[in-house]
Amino acid sequence: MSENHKTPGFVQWLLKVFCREDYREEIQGDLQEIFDWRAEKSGLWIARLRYLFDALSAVRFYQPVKTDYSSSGAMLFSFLKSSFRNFKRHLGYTSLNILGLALGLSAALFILQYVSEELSYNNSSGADQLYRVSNDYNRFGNMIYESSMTFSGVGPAMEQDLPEVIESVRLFGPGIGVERDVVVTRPDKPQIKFKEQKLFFAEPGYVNFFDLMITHGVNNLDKPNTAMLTPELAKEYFGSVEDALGKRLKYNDVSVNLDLLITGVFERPGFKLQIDADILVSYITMERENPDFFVNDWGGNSFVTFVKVTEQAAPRAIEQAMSELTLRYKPGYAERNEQGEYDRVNRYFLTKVTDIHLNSKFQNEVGPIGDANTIRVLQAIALFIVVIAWINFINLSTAKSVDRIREVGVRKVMGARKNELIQQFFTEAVLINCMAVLLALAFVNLGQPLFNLFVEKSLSLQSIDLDRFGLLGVIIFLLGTALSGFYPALVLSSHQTINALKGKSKIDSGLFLRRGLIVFQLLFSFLLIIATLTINEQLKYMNSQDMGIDMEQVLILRGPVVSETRGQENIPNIEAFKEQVLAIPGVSQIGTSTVIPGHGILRGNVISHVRESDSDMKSIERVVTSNDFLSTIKANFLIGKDFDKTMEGYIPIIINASAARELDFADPADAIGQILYESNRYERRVVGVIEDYHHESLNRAIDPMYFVRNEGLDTYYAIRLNSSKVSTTLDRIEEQYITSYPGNPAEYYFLDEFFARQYKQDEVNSKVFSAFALMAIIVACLGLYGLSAYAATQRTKEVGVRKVLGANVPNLFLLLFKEVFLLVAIGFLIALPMAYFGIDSWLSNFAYRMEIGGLLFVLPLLGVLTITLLATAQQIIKVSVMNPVKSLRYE
Amino acid sequence: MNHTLGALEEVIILLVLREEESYGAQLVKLYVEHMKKEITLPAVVMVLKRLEKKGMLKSRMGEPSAERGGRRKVMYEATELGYQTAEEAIKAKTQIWDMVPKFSK
Repeated sequence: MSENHKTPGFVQWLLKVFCREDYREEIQGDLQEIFDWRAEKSGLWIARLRYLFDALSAVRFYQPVKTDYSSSGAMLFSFLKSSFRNFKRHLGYTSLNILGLALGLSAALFILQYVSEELSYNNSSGADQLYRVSNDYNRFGNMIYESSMTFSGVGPAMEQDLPEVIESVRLFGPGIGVERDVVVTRPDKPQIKFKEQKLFFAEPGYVNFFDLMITHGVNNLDKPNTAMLTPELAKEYFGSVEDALGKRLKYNDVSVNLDLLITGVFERPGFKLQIDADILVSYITMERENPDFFVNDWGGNSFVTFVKVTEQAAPRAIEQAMSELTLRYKPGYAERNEQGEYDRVNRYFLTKVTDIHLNSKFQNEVGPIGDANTIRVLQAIALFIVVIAWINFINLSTAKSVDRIREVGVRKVMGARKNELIQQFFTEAVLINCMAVLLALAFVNLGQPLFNLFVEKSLSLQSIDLDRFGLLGVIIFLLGTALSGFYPALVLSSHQTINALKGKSKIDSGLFLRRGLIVFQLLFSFLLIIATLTINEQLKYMNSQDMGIDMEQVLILRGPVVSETRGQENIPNIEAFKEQVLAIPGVSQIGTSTVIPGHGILRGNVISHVRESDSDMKSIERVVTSNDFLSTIKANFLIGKDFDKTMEGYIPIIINASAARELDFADPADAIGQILYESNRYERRVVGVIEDYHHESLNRAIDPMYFVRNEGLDTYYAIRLNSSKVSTTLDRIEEQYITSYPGNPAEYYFLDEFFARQYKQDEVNSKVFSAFALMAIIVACLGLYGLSAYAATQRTKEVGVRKVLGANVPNLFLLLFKEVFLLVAIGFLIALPMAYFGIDSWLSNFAYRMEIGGLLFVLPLLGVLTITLLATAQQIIKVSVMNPVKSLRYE
Repeated sequence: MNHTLGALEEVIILLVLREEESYGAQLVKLYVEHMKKEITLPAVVMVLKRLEKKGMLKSRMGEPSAERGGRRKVMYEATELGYQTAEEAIKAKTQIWDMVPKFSK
């Protein structure tokens, strides 16, 4: 063989590094020969691998190159040694530095955890081809509803009629609507029963769409009456995962009772799921049970539908094709008006599954909803806090450099070259950054439980999505370390030897930059504080609004699920239960309803003045209540009265003021006694008009609503308490519930708490922002402290002269504080417009928004001034009270 | 002067003796063929250098050749001392081996 095989270049480089020079030619030659021989004998890959081993093994020839003293090994050692000596000498300063950086880094790590989790929703392996189908409904040009769920016919139709759609999956969650509760019982041990909110009827493809791992058993969701559950739930019901397989469970909701066979146990994937099921029941079960609704219906929007499309498919084209397809399945929608437009229109929308969590606009979205803007802002905060920490580091080290001028001078005289000085200071910077990272990791570990409590999640360092943030984080960190290390190093090493020896520092050139950095820190702190304050104030504003009803002292008790009787046969039971509860001391009123304040509203129901005509229909939220419900929550009647037993022989309804306007009643009084038609045909008589009350969170305007009486629906009992011994009353109510509705777990909460859940996300945000604002301020104060220390020492002599000439301590204090005050003022002035526009655009999300008051800005200003005063006072006072004899001698 | 031989040193010096004059790459190939196991070149060269230091081998620069990418090889040859030390080591072992009772079964 005459031709040489090419050896891997990287390994050759490795060899160069490892092998001492005088052996190199021999080794390289030999290795080339062996490489060729091995390549012939066992193939190129084996040869390469062995070559790598050989090169690594050559490390035994490593010989530190002994040349002159400036070379890396010994110098590095010397740098390290003097760095540590220096740290020890300025222990306070060094710890301040490390602490600041560590705080900044740990804040960033916390934020990354939070952000990573929020971004991880539905991030399954095939997510880029998965879409969720939603639809809206327009009638006579009016938007009736927008729904995240669609009809049961949509999924199969897409799969069948559109070539771009590979597979569709429908899910139905009986627990997510407001109409049904689900109780699952172990038949052989009926005492083991739970209300299951996270139960979904699902088609078998769901498992593969979202990477669920079946750890035991098989995916039998294509067969009726089968179910799979999570290991946690398997343990709850059966004690162990193995025991669950092949067992049966009983399913009850208000309309069906099912017998389920457990065929599998599934583990959740590593990312968050928008639809987080504990139990999956085969969808076909419900198709058998209620084919009209579950097989191919085009009216009820209750089905979460996912589709998997081909790689080339364009989602917009599919949406278009679906809208056209509707006409085939809903012939009624083909009617057109005089202008040739369709009277009724369904539009369909495909949303990438990974976009659902953060970008949902639907009132009836299934699963938790986040906010993409918050996530963006948090990422920016993470970056800024770290930047602030580095700025701090730069400020502190340059300020401290005054003390080290002489050291630099001596080093220079002893022959240190400029780049060696830079290396020295750079080594210190890198060391401090490294120690800060270690400390930050410790902080994060220690603070994790507290942070988790704060944001109400279970996060850890492992939550950070390294694919997304890993590389970026490392680059930013290296860049930051390099920049924050180089600047002070450059400044320090560039002193004139002669001045440095005298201890004179003339580093005013960088002063402007350093002041700029401080202003930036303050600006950022201002923005964070103002943001925190704004969120808090708006929350307070919303909570203090007159809701139009009285939610305090109202207990909400969920109605029974397991029941022998259905519908109107229930009335005697419900009546009896109400009587018994009313008899309990401390209970003043009771009523039932299908919807309670705090539930999302989806305007889908129609009501009109005229019978059998499409033209006059209004879509108004419908609530079914019993006698006394509206009086229990203390709704204010503009006219008329609440349902009572005297209203017989007709079905009474009550409307709110918005609905009265929508129905064209000029005066609420005109509405009384009028006949309205529900869904075009059912006759209702208006008996009252109530003032608008806030049924939903105050970020939404009040919707028109009507209340229709039905004594046979007890989804919720609302119970007004007037007791001082609430817990005894609660116990009595619970006892009564269990006696009246055996087999149902009692579940209750207070209405005001339930209502407040809508503000949960804002509250968490407020807490998160305040925590990070605090961290940013602490870090910024460390920087101020450093700057004021620097400024004070610089002006020691000036202060001495002034003192001799008769200046008193307060005068001097003001003189020195003026500089800091100026920086704060500049930071504040820049922050002001930014904050104002930020607040304004944030508040535009709320239908009911507070006024932007001056206090929002004045309080942070005062706060920051006080903090900066505290941070700088010690240094300033030290210089001001110094004996002038001493300060004049200074330098 | 240390006149003992380690196990690997023994094999390498025997291989050098067999070839009269040899070099690293060739020794690796011979080692792999005889001992039926892999070895890294630096391990072999390390042994060669050590033996040279002990005075059992001597080396000279060879000619550059194309198959080594134009690099010169270092040729090793056993010295008198090397020859004797190897012989003694082998003899001693052979004597012991001869006294070992034969394994029946």
